[in-house]
Amino acid sequence: MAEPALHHVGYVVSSIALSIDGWRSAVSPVSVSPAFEDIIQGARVIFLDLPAPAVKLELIEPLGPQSPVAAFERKGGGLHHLCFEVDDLDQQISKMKAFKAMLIRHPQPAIAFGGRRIAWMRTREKLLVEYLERARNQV
Amino acid sequence: MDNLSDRLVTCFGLVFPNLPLDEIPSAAAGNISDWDSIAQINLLSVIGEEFGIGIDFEQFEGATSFPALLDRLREINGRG
Repeated sequence: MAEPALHHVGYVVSSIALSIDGWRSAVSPVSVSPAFEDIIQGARVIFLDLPAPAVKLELIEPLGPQSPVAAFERKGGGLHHLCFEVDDLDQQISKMKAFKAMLIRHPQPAIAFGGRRIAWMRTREKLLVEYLERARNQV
Repeated sequence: MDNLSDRLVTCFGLVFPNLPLDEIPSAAAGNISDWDSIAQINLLSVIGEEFGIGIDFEQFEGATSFPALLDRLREINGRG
């Protein structure tokens, strides 16, 4: 089974539309994904593919005041989480619970990842981590 | 106040240092402006550490006041 691999870094902004030009200048992405509106996650997201060997940068905009990232955005936004890809989401959650990490959001499908499941945890080091399950046929 | 309650007061004091001690037992998300979703995560994390329990955030959904959190802890304590 492959080790967890860093997939992207999440950064919360108040508006993707208003900040994307600045981000293009700041990090020179190779490509930019379409925007995804994920009602389940309560956020609009977009991915910037950075030049290799860097990982992706995810810009996250809260969809309304009830969004899980709304409070973070109200405090100014910024670096929010690391996302790791894992083979088996349930197994990873169990492993992290043994390390006293707190499960914040149970596994759910995510539109931005083609319906692949994600879960959110916070480690004892106060690091917010998103786990993304690899596609079953993904090597 | 019992032991559980005292320990929960200690948790609140760590997360909301500006909250007067005598106001903690009636504290609720609706009457503390600092109590947002980030503070809730911090609070549950501190509670997990204090009581040595694995916290499942979604199982504590809706527990956004001191009395509600105390009730959940009593339930867990009763099961344990």
